[in-house]
Amino acid sequence: MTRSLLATLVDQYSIHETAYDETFTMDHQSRDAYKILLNRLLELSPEDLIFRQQASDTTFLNDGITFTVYDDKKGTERTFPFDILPRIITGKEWNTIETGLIQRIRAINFFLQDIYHEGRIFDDGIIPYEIVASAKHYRREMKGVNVPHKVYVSICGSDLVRLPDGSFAVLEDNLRVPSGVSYMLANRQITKNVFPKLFNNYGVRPVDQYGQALLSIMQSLVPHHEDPNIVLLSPGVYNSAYYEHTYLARQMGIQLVEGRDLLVHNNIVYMRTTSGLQRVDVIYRRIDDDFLDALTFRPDSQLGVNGLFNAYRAGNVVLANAVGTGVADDKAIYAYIPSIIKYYLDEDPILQNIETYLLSDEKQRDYVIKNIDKLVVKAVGEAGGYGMLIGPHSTKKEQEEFIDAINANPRNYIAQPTLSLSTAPCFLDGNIEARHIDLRPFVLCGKDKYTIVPGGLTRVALRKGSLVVNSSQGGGSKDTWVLYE
Amino acid sequence: MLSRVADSLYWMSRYLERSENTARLIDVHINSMLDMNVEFVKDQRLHRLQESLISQSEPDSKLTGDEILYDFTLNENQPISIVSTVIGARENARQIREQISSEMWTQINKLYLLVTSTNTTRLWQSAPHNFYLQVKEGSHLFQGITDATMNHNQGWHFIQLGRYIERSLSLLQLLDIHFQDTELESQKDIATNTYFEMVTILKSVSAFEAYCKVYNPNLQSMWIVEFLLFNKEFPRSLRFCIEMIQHSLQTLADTTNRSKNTNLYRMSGRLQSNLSYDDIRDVHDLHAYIQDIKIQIYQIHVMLYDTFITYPIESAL
Repeated sequence: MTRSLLATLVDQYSIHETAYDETFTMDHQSRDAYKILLNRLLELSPEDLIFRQQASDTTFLNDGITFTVYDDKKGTERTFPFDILPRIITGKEWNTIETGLIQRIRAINFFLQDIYHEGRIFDDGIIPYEIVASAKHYRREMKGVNVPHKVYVSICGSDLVRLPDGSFAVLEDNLRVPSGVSYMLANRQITKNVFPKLFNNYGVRPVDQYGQALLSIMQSLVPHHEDPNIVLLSPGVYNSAYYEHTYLARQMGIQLVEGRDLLVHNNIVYMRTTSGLQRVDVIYRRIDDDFLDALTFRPDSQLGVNGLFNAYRAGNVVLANAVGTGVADDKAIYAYIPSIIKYYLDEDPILQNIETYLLSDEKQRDYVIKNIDKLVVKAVGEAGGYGMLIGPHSTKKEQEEFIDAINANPRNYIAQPTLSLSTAPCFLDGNIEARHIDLRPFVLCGKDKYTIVPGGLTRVALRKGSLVVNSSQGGGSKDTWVLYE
Repeated sequence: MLSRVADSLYWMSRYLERSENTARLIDVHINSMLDMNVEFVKDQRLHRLQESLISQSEPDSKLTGDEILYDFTLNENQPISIVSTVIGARENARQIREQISSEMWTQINKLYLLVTSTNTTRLWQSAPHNFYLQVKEGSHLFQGITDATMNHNQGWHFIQLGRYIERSLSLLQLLDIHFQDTELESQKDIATNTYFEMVTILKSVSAFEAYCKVYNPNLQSMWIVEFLLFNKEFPRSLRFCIEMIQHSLQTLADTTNRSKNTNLYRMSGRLQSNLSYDDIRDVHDLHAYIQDIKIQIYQIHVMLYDTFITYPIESAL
């Protein structure tokens, strides 16, 4: 029997020397979870695969599933490149991820409650007060404010990476307004349309219930109402994630509002409708703290609602996530998360942290500056792949600029070893090649309940050798299959 | 529904109706000029076209004929040009994209791409009729898609209101300009010149065929005005527009649980019943009659906003 062309492509696939490959072992055997997938794939011709790739690209374009790139003069809307080969996570792996993430979020919610109230963790010397108080997203205004059911973080999108030994580690926690969940849902829809046969009987757990799960989390946060009015607050059409806002609002069956639709009177939040003013009970806000309320935070904000924070403090409206959660995803505080878990839960962390150098510490700083060409340096308050230096891929000049910036403001930076993110085969220009990937599952926390829809957004660094998976920096995505077994 | 969304739907619809009206007026104008070789009358017609399109400011008299047509069609700095109004409609649609059907969005986007594409000027210069036809068809298609794909809920009624308020105002403007210095006649022999002029007016609101079915091609100015003001069935007559407005307002009051015992409903109800009982033979001063109705429609617009969109907070608490 002659080998199919696709089989040849798979044979030619070169496995990364150091990174963990999701699909193949080092001796080029496919991992168990992928065996059936590969066999089914090999029945297709490369043309078939190209055709399916095009079909999925067209769907994204026609449905307008796009994101906005800031500072890009050539038309600002782009589709998010989608690779048709799915990424598979076994039931066993998923259990670790699920329990690990829930453990982490529980501890983070305790931590936030503590630092904005008694501050026991400072008294017990686990984390210095200065580190917390100097964090960019620490909100003094939240001191003593009681948050419903002590749930600060209702929606979290932690970024996980897989290390060369095959274990998962948390690279960062996104606790402010994590985005990307609409791509997780859209990717699944498209895979089902394009690969119905492949998908069928594979034992993939469904993700479509996310909108419903999110809604029920929001409902659980309101104590007294039978039928609370829940809205999604978006910055508007010019925001990079506007597509996602409209998608989620539709999935949840709630109103998509902008700041100008809301007003506060006597510490009650209302939205202006054609039937008159209607009280708002829960705001799923997709606006950063800074822009929420010009009377409390940035006075130049046009996106928020004047008086919103007072209504919040008075307990008349629930914000999800709460104000001030960003302090816990500060990259310097990240280094303390294992101790935070130990302190509040008296458990060992299930998911590991990446080793992190705090540059405010003199000894660690000296080490980092000497080894900057081997490390990754990140600004603590930034996200989206902005404000970071990848040592091995940088020029001398960039390194010097970062060293100057570090010396000027050491608290603002951390460093981590350059990770070898796991790789997965991607179908690119008719070839199958290895690219680095990560995983962003979405954790939901409500009153006494935690939900993680089995899946997540697998982001792909499409440029060869690149370790940056952010959509704004040329990343793409894959559908993520979490199996029952 | 959110007031902001109602606002965007209303203006999206008004802007689009406006582009269609402008396209039709200019198209008919260009066509009628082909039959005309007296310079004086040509100038007069051009001036009327300008007046029919511009309601507030004084028309720019320095422009030549072609420049005027360009100005009303493709000049992005002219706020009432076709290209500006299509951009306005699309921008309003974009703000509320998730509220309209995706078919509606695709259609309005296509129309936008048509009028803003780089070879539009060339298309317009070589085949103006074709260009205006495409604009009109684009707008018709949008209306059809809207009716067929969108829920006929509150939002749809705000679209209706925008369309019919804009349509009635531009009709009144047209009648006012064209009949400002003429006595309305019902039994005169018609000179060729006048005949063409009457045809132009009717065609400007695509009423020629509909008129002929009711009155035969007997183009007496009085019957034309009667038809355009009081006909119950023609979808561009004033009475028809006001009845649609009244119907949508009634539905909105029901769905938003608002009282109909307000100035808005008194005003629109009075206007509707006046139009069903008025007789053209009682209209002695057409200009004054039209001005009066215009003011009432403006007031309906203002009160519509006061009731549903920009109402003072105190009144709603």
